[in-house]
Amino acid sequence: METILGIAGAIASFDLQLWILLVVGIVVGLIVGVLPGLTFVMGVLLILPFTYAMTTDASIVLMLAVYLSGTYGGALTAILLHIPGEPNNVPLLWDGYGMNKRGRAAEALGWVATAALFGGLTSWFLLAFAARPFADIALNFASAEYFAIVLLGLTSVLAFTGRSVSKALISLLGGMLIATIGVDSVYGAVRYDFVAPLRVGIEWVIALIGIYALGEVFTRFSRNFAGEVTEQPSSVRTTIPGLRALKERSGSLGRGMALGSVIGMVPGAGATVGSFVAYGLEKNFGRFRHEVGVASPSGVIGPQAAATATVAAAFIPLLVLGIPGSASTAVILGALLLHNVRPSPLIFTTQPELIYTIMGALLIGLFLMFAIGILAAKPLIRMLRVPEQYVLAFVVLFAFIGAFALRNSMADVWIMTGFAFLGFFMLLSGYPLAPLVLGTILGPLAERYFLTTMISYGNDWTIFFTRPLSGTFMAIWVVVLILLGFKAYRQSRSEPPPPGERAEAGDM
Amino acid sequence: MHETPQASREMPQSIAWPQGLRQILPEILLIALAAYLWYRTGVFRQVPAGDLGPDFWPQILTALIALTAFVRLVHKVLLLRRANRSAQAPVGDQNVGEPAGEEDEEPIFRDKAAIVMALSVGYVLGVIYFGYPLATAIFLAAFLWLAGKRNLLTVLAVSLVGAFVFAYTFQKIVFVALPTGVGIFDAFTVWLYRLTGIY
Repeated sequence: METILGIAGAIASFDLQLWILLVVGIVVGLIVGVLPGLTFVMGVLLILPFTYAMTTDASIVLMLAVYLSGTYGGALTAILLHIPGEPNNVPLLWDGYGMNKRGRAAEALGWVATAALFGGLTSWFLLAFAARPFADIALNFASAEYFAIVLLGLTSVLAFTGRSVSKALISLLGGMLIATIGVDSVYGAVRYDFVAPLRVGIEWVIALIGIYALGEVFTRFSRNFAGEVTEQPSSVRTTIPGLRALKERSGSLGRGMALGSVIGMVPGAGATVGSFVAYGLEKNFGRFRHEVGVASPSGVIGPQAAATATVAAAFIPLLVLGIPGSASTAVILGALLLHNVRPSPLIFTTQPELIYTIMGALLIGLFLMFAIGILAAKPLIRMLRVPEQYVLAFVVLFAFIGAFALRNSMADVWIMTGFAFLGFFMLLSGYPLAPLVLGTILGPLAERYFLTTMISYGNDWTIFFTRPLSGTFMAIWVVVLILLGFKAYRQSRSEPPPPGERAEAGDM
Repeated sequence: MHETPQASREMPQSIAWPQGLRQILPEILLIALAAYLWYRTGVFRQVPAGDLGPDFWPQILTALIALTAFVRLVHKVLLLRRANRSAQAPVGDQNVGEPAGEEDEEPIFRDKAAIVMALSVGYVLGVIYFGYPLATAIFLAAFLWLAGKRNLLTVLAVSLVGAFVFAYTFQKIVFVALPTGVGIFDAFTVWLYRLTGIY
C-alpha cells in the first residue's frame, strides 16, 4: 500500500518538465530503435551529456524512457521491412516479417505493441513490489555476499556471450584489469599510471561510449554502411489483439514476461539475450511450436515481451545493490553517481522519492511507448530514409561531447577513442565486447568487496563459503562455472572440418 | 581484417610455419603483455606483511589472462600439428580452431577502417588546436564526403549547421566548456561565440 501511494504521489507531482522529458525520451528511444545504425545502449549514452545539467530525477527519467522504448522501436522495421532496428529484434524477422508477407502486418504490429506493454508491466510489478523486500534482505548482506553476487554476475556474462568461452574470459579479465588503473579504493595506491591522466583512473562510462558509440561508427563505416532504405510499406496499421486472442496466446505472453523479468536481473544478460531465449522457448516448448519460425504470433509475442520485461527488472539489482543488470542501467548508474546518489538497500528509506519517481516514470513510460509506438509508426519508419552516414557522423559528435563533458577533460576523449580502437580490433578478432564492458564496471566492485572481506576476516578465504548467504551464492557460482567448463570442453572437442571448408567450432 | 573465403581455398593444404605463427601470435602477445603488467605491479605501494596489498588483484587478473592465453596457445598448437599431419587440413589464412560464423559478417574494408580512425583522431586533435566549432564543421564535412556523400551543398550545410547547433546547445544550454583552440583559432572561436550569442 505504501508503495502504491508513493508511486501515485510521485506521478501526481510530476512537473511539466518531467512529462516533456518522458515524451521526448520515449520518442528518442523509438527513433534509436528504428535506426539500424543505433542501439538503445548508444541512445542512452548519447543522451547522457544532456543530463549533466539536469536534476537527478530529470536525468534518470529521460534515460530510462530512451532505454524502455528502445527495446520496442526496432520491432516496427523488423516486421515491416525485414530490418532489425536492434539486436533484440532479430527474432522478429522470422515470424514478424513472415506475418507481414502474408498480409498480417497489422496483427503483428498489434501483438508486438501488446507484448511490449505486458512484458514491461510484469517486470514493473516486480520492481514495484519485490524490490523493497529484496532490499530488506540485502540489508543483511556484508561484503562477502556482495562479492559473491558480483562474482556470479561476472561469470554469468561468460555464459551469454559468443561462442568462445576463453575469448569471453580474456575479454572479461581485460576489462577488470583496465578498471584497476588509477587509485585503488582500498589501499589508496596508484596503479598503472603510465601517463599522468591515468592517475585518476578510467570512468567506465568513457569505456562504454568508446566501445558502443564510436566503436560502432568504426565498424559501420568500415563495412561501407547499410544500403539506403528506399522501400516503404504502403500502409502501417496496427490491430490490437482482442481478449480471445490474448487468451489463446497467454502461454507465449506469460513465458516471455517471466523470462524477461528474470533475465533482466542478471548482469550482462539484457534484452537481446531475453529475446533470443524466449524465442527458443517458443520454438521448442511452446503450444504453437509447430508454426513458430514461419508466421506465428507466438514467435513475436515471446521475444518482445521478454525484451521489454528486462528493462524494469534490470533496475532491481541496480537500485538495491548498485549492480547494473545491463549496459543501459550501467550508464544510468553512472548518472546516479554523478548526482551523488549511491544505490544500496538503504536507498528505499533514504531516497524514496527518487525510487517512486523511477517507478512512476517507468509505468507512465510503458503506456506512452504503447500509444506513441502505434500512432507514430509511419513517421518512425520514414526515419529510415535518413542516410546512415549522417546519423553516424552525429553519433561521433555525441560521443565526443559525452566523453569530454564528464570531467571536462580531453584526456577522457583520448581514452574514449582508445576504447573505440580496442573495441573495433577486438570485434575483428572475435573477442566479445560485453564482458570487457562488464569487467570495467563490476571489476572494481569485486575487488573492493573481496579485499574488504579478507581484511575483515584475517585473509580467511573460506568465509565466502561458510557464511550462509554468500555460501549459497558461491555454490550457484560453482555450478555456473562447471556448466561453463563443460561448454568450453564441448567446443574444444568439435570435429575438424573436411578439406576445403572453413573451420568449424574447435575453439574453447 | 577479414579476407574473402575464396582467396584462402587456393592455398596449400598444410599450414606453413609463418601462417602458423600468425595464428598463435595473439596468444603470445597476450602472455607477454600479461607478464609485463604483472612485473609492473612490483612498483605499487608496499603494505605490511599479512595484507594482500594493492598488487594482489592485478596479479590475479594478469595471471588468469596469461593462463587462459596459454591454454588457447597449447590448444591451437595441437590443432595446427594435427592439421599438418593429416590430409584434412584447414587451409590458408583460416583461423585455426575458431568457431564458425565468426566470418559470416559483412567484410571490413581496410581503407575505410583507416579513414574513419584517422578522421576520429584528427577530429580530437582538431578540437584541441582549432577549437570545437571549426573542428566540428571540418570533421562533419570530411566524414560525410569520405563516406560517399557528394552533394557539396548538402554536406556543407549540414556541417556548418550541425557544428553551430552542437556548439550552441552544449556551450550555452548544457554549460559544457568546450575547447576554443589555441592562438588565432582561440580568438576566432571567441569571436564566433560572441557573434552568435553563445558568449
